[in-house]
Amino acid sequence: MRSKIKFPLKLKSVLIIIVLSAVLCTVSIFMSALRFSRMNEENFKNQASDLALTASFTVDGDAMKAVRDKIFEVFAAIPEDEIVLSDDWGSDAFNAQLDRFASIMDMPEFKEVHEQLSKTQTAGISTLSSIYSVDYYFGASKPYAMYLVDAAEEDACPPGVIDSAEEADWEHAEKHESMEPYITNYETYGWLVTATAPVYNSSGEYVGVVGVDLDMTEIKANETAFIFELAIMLFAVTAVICIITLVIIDFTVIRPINKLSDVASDYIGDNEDKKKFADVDIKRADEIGNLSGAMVKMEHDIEKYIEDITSMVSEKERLSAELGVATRIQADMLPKDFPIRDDVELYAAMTPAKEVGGDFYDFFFVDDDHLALVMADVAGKGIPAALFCVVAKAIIRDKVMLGGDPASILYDVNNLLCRDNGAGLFITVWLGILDLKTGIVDYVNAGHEYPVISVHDKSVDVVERENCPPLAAVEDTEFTNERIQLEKDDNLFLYTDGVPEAKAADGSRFGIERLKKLLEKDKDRSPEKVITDLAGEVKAFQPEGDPFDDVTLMSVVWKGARK
Amino acid sequence: MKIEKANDGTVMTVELIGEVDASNASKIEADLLNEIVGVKDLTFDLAELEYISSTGLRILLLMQKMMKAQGSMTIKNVRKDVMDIFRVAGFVRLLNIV
Repeated sequence: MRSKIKFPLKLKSVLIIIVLSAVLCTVSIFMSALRFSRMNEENFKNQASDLALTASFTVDGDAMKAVRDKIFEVFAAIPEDEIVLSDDWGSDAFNAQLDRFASIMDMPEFKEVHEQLSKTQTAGISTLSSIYSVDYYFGASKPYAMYLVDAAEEDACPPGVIDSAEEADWEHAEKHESMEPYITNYETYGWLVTATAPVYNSSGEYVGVVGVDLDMTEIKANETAFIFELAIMLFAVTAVICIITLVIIDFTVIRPINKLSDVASDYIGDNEDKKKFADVDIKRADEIGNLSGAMVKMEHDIEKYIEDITSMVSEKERLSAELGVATRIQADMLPKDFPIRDDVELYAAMTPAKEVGGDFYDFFFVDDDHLALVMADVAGKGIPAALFCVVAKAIIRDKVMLGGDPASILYDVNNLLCRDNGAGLFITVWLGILDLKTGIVDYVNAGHEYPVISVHDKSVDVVERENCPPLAAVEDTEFTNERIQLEKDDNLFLYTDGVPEAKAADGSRFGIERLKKLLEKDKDRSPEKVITDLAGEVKAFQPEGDPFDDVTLMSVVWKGARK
Repeated sequence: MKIEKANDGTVMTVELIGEVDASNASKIEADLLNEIVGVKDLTFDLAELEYISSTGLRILLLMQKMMKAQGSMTIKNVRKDVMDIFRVAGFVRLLNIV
């Protein structure tokens, strides 16, 4: 089951790198442009200031004063409301105004100053646009800027060109100091830097300023070209770096991770033919190498676990199969050829709580007239109890066949069992020998449940005598023989504690009284019917699932001596 | 099933409360085997014991065997029901019941 990858690592890294590079490029271009432009402007301003200062010293102050005074004189004669400013250049009123000043251009002083300024103008400074002298007239309601001499080669401003003075300009002029150079960009003139320097006459009197305009149009165009080239170069270099970075990331990070991711997806998928981490083992001394190594190890471990679990499961299956065989062997060891004779009829059943049980029953003819009956219960369940059963059953049978009364037989059996009983198990045994001619049962009850006799046509009695200790508990235990006289058709019923102690879901126990009642119900039943009915009742009494204890039942009916 | 123990090193009293059967016998056995090392006088107080199965009897027998080697074991306050079980199991002759 592979989850869909919406944004692969490759796409993410490409996007991140492109965005970051674009931002970086834009910022650096912007910063360079700003810095470069400021530097150029600073240079131009300094150049303009220097040039204005130099020009101011080449101008004859006395001549300029004469020109200025003459212009002011003409200007003062014009009523203020008739003044035409340079904004109306070319208009009739403007031209008429110029005519008033025309004579000034013939003044030798005007010519002298013009010549001096022209020297600078024609000196070969390529960026010099115009050089001129100006003064401010403060005699009217507001200051006016008056062009005195203009040495520009084209469109020179003759005397009579008047501008309303900006405050920033005339404030400097009033204090007789240089103005801070400034940059303008008018459509008609383009980029210009303007700087001024004051001019003094021979007696140290301030007579106006020399102004210089430097043309920045070319340098601005250069600036744009430079930024353009820079941008192209930067983008190109960045693109190359991006591609190199992406290729490196692709090979060192993305591809190995994709490989691992593919194998991991494959690993959890349902594919039969899985890719393996071991095949893409990335041997590198970095985190990806580590990751790959860890995945290879994990894969190896999981495979090993699966192998272990498989072998454990098969081992468990083997054990359970063997237990099944053991169950069969145990069942087969219990005699099944139940006698149905004129003098005796017998039936028995054993239901283990686990695969193998700790109960057993046994019966066999010692001779023609004597039937040995054994009912036994090892304290415990499962395999240890079952193994103990096998030993006990064999020994008891052996000893009974050798002859003797039950007490002496069990004395020997007990000592044999005590000898090799490290596990501390003990076994309760009811051993009886039924004389088929007389109906007398000689028996020993070694810690076992009391037998019940269902007397035909009469009561059901529990035969309570003092019980002897169980076998395998204490060495050299003396056992006591007991005797019961069976009447014709009496049913001797033997069982293990799994019957009275069977526990219902509510905690109540099956008990002896219930057992007696069930035995009383129908006295004409055959031993087989009695046992199967009772086994069914006990099974039904307990909750489903794991039965509490082994349940073993035996029913013997003595039908009187043989004829 | 509950088990209460008082052990001062040499004298130990064990109270078994409720029912002892195959479902809890192995736990009780492990519990007691750990504790009785060095005990000289072991007493089982069965005043609150309602039922004991053959697997439970096996524990008493095992304790009896071990105590025989290192001291003595006494069983007291046995209820009638449990005494009947002891009687059927032939334990009356094996155990020191007071």
